[in-house]
Amino acid sequence: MAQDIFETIDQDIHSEPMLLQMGPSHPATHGTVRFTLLLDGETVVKCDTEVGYLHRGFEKECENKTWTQAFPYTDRLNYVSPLLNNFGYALAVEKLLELEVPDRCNWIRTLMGEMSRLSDHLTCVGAGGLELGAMSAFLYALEGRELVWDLIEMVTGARMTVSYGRVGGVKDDLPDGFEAKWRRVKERLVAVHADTHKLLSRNRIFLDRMEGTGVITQEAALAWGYTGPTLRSTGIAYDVRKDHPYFKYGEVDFDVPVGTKGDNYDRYLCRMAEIEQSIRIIDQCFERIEPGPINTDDPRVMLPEKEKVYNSIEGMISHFKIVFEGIQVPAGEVYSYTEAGCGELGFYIVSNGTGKPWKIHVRSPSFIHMGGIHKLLEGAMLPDIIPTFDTVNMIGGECDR
Amino acid sequence: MPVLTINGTEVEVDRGTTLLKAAAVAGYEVPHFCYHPALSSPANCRMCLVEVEGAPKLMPGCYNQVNDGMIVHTESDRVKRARKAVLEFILVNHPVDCPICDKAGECKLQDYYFAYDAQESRMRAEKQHKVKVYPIGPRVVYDGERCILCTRCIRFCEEITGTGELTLADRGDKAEVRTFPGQDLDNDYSLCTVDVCPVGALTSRDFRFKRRVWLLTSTDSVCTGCEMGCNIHLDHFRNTTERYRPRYNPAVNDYWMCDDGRLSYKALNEGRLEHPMLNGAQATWHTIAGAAASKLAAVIEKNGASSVGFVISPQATSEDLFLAKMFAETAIGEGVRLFINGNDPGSSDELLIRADKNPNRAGARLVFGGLDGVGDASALADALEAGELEAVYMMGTELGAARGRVEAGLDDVGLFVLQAAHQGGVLLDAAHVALPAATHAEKRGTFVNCDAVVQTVDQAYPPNADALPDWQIFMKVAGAMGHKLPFTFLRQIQDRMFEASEAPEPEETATEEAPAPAE
Amino acid sequence: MARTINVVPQERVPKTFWEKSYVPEIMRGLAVTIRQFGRNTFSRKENRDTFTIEYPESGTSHYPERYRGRHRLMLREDGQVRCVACMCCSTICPANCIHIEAGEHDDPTVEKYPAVFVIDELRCIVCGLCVEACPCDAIRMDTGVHMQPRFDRTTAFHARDEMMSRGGLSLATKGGRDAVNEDYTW
Repeated sequence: MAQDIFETIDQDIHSEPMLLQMGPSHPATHGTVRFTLLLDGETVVKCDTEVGYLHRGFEKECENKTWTQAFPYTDRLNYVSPLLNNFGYALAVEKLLELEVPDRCNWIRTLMGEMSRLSDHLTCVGAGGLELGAMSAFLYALEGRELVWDLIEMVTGARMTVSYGRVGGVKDDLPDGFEAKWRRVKERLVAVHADTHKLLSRNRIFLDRMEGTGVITQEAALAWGYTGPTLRSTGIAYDVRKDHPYFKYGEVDFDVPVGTKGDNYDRYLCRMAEIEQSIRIIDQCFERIEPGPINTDDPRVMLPEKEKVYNSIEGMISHFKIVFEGIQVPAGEVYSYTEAGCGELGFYIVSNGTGKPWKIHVRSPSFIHMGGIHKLLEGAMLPDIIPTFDTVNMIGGECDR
Repeated sequence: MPVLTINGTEVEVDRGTTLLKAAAVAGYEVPHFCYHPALSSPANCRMCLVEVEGAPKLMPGCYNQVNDGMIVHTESDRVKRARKAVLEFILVNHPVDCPICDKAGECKLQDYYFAYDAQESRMRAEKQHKVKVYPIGPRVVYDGERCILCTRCIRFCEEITGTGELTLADRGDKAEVRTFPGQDLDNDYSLCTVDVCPVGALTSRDFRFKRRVWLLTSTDSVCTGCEMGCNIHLDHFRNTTERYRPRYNPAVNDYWMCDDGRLSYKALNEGRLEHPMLNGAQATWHTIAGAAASKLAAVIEKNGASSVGFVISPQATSEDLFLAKMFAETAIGEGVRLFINGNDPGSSDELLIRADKNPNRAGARLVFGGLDGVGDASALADALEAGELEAVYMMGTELGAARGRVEAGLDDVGLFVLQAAHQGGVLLDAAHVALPAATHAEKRGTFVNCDAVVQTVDQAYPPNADALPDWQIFMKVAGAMGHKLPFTFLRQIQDRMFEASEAPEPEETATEEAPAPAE
Repeated sequence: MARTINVVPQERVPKTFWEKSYVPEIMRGLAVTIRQFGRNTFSRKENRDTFTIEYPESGTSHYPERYRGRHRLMLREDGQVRCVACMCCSTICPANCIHIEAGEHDDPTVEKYPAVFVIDELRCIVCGLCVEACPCDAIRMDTGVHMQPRFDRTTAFHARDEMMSRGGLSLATKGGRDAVNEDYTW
């Protein structure tokens, strides 16, 4: 009798895979991405990624705007680290102009860029904790982010949509009392960072969810064009700041954390380590920055000082020509790349010699990551999608432009 | 033919060519303020100074003529320093007026400073104060502080219009451009002084503060004020024409145009007929074509084609008129009474103004094979008063002096179809069917001017509201009447016109057009 | 150049027995959060780490000096608007939210003024390019107040007089007319 029951239960129940839309509005997808999942039980058999729900026509818009008017648009690419986008774009246009910026400008760009990177990584780590259920860790990481944003707001006037970079320099110099405020913020930030570590890093629930999930091999990462912490988690030490230094990254000391296994936990550890390295870089910038001019003195590129504009016809003419015509960038094309929060952010710019760009193409790391993420998700379980997608850190604005 | 070397490039030019023109032939721009290709060269601004080997001082390129074997440098250090110095001197007393000056965006001082100078000011004293917002003429405003005393306006009034109202008053740093006492800058071309002025010293009162120049888009077009057809830049912003500026055409109008023609752009924007109207109520193109067709067909069937008065307009393009002819012949039929309306003749002069105030009467003449059998507006009024017409199909609303009689006569007519860009006041009320047409800014087409020059107008912006080009309206109505006219593109109409004209095929000539000389 | 120096592989420490048993780590975590809770609830105000700002009671007084908020139009010494309707701000605005119509001013030294100056604060992306583009210090965004939420969209169109009411004395009141500014060293 018992035999019969067992046999019946052991029979293969005919089942089909289930199609599940992990649709664009999903709390766990940062930004809007749609996964069409074919599930066999809890295992993802096939995953189809669909991006573009946040496409706002950045590249097309910039064709109708002057070079300076494109800066607010670059803010809204990777909107958690807008300063990195601003400076990446400014670097690209300066390459076409063959323009050198003063030292202090490069120090400021390095410093503020690293603050933006702090903001990006803290958001990623915090959101990752939140999605796995660790809501306190989220609040702590976001407290760290708020402190950084207060600093950024002190310099630029806005927390997120900063429009701080300019071709040939930055908008304003660092205000007085900035370094003192950084010292106070850094104390609290280091404490918050340590707390987040304590809450997450050795917690078995966290470890079980993150270790061994979302594994990507070195060959696959290279083949799919991954960069940034996602690539470094596999063990390949490629960091644009080290390999092709720009701004002042060649002159400051910092480590490049890499992972060993290429799984989610490695990416988490890399980001936590990069937060410490960013703090280190910012400290070094403050030590070494000297007073001086923050913008290039080329009158064809920079708006003249306001006093000269108000009081002299020469300043007024320069001001007017740059405002209504835009900076005349010589015809040509350039590809310029920097290390953004998610990976290598590239700007491929084509100029036709006028004050408006002919074409700006953004090599967005998030978009490239989305190209290969189905490889990470197929074969994994449904709940593993959450930490994988979080640590890959696709930012919707950057992915879809 | 002298051969000279400019910046290392050898060029051969005619005797009597100035260094500035020779440099232009070689492809090098020499900046200048007081020189204008159509005026005499006083060489007083010194901006065009170039270095000629063997000469101790820099020579003004606009005045000195070439000699065989000259070696000229237009970009040497000496020349660059001279340009910076000239600009610095001009800017010493130039007011900081860019925010309030209309010329910003097309100002040579701005362009040259940015391209050739870009140095900071060394001026520490207070600038000279002169007269501002001075009404030097009924249409022109003068600002003494901005004036760089290039005397282009003075020479224009002396040499081109021959009226000579302007002169330089006072000397040194108090010099200003003034009219002779009791005179105004009031000739028929006064607004051309605004074009020649390189800075914002002379500005147009009509365009004052209307729109910033860099927001305007320029389209090549032709003025419709008279049969001269002066070439213009039609400057528009967001589908509204803001001004006309003359365009260089040595065959027609050189660099100039008259004030009346320049201000005729206002008609493009005012009093427009916007929607198809049927018996006073707004309709759509879907319904109106059929309504017009059935009404017209009814009249023709009952009273014959000779009871229909078809009024063509010399304001329309040649393509519109060609379609009008096809419409009259096929849709209305033989025996239709043809009339031509249009603005009444006015004054003319020896320069550019012509008596016929319509752009395309010559085109109408060519399309219809002569206008002998075509009555004018007063003939239309006569026909209406005599009760000979049961229906009137009219293009355009220009009726001249006969307007009153025609309007009175239209009250009694059974069917009045108005196909025009403008409402024409009472004419719209009298119309049983009103078809909105596009102005010449809103369609592509050709005009034939008084000297038989065919000129193209380009489309600047899409037609206003529901308007359509006249030729498309004719095709709609004819199609609704059962006569399909086989055109889709303007090019097809032009090809058909060419075939119908029995003109020989043009020879393939590769003409190298010389670039227009810089003003 | 030296490639990939300072590469620090992240250590992967296998779980210890105590870590595998869940509870000690959870206790550690709870200790962190409870300590934070205790500090923020029971200690003296200055020692607390609470980050919350009581808005709108404590208002926006913590905004830094450079904060970009609502626009204001600056004034001349006689109280008239400093703006001369040069259209630089409306040209450079990436969002096309500034609408200006120029008018003729009676005083020939002033000559031009904005008869209509409307900013659609809902379209504004608060980038500050208009302030940078103004050649006369006529518009600023330093009111320190951000755009308030509202029920009616039309109240978001800020017109010239409303923006002037927030205005102060422009730095450039003597701009252009008297070219010498004794305070400025070139």
